[in-house]
Amino acid sequence: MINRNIIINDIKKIILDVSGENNINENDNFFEKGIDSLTFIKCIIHIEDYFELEFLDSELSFDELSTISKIADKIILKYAEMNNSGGVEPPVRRK
Amino acid sequence: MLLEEYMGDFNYMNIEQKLMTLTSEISIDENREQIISLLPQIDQHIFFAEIMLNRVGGLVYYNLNKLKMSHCLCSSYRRICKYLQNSIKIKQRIYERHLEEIILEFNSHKIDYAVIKGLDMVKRIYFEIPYVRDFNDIDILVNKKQLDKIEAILKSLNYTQGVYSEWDNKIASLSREEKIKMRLISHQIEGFTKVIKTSEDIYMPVNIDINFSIFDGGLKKDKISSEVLLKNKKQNILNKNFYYYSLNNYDTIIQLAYHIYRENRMDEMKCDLADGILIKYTDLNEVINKYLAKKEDQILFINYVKNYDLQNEIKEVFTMLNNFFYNAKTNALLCQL
Repeated sequence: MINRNIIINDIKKIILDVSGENNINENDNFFEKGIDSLTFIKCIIHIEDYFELEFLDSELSFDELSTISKIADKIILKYAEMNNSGGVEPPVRRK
Repeated sequence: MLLEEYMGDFNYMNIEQKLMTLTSEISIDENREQIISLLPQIDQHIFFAEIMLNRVGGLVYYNLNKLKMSHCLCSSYRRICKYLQNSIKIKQRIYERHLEEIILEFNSHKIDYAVIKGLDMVKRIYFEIPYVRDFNDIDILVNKKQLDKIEAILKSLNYTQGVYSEWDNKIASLSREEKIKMRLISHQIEGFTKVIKTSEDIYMPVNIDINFSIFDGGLKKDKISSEVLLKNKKQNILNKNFYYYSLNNYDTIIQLAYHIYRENRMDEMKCDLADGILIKYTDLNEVINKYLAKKEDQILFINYVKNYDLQNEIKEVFTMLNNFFYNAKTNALLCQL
């Protein structure tokens, strides 16, 4: 069973690690919080690595991935698709 | 057009660059006297290097031949120019065949597209003097919502994302990080390439560049969305019985001008001597000559530019264009911007 809260927390941890921000909420817009485009790209790379997936070209846009919540929705959708075709569960960050 | 009428950059050009500029127009009748007076003064080696770097070799050679002046180049350079025309001819045939194949697939999958830049210029602007406008790829503007479908279509046609290396005849792909960076902060995704073997046993890459914006991409909002540009596209003839879509006339001018505007802002492009600039100005100059010849069209174009708040960008590029090719139409447009 995919747990949205766990995914949100894992994305949040990655964003805070990479950006050096102190806090960010799930609906905060990264760019309004002062995260620049290059830091954002690094965050996306780390998120892809961690969740072992790749965003499609049509999904890769600042608008589509501008909040933790939007990223989580995309990841949940991808895992749901993978599950439907006998795929895998998302990884769980240990601490 | 008199030499004295040129302002700014043209005055700072060396004699070879002046001659190159004067011979880089489709119609050189007005420049005839100046060309003939400059010809005996040039260093042919510098002149040849300039026309090749600026990718106007085919057009300049055609015009020199027209004036019966190609002997200003030594026989080796003339031969290279001839080879260039032949290679453009072969390349154009191959690219047109591959574009047809792509368009058929796009049509059957309802992909909205418009061919822009090089090959579109060949078909719409340089069609009366074939095989003079060189190009290295096909640029296609698409709606970013259809990028995944387009990627799948091109892969089904055996294209690979990456850059062709002629040293080892292989296609090198960007890293995932570079791909994401390109998608997010530029106007294109990583290019597609297919290596083909010609009937003469020569390996040749067919490069397709997929653009989802004619502006900057990234965080900057498009001044005209690609959806709107594609909605107003027009049909053109690729070859007998085959049509393709391109941008409408005004959007074509804006695309060419913004391309120059964007590249002038990128330091790495300014340093890249191999990516000659004159051909881009030549295209823009010819498009203005063709589509903005009438005063009514000029007024409509200016209103169009103002409507999309593109006055500053267009003004900057048209001012530079006027430094290369003094054009009464460009001048009239500048007065209204």
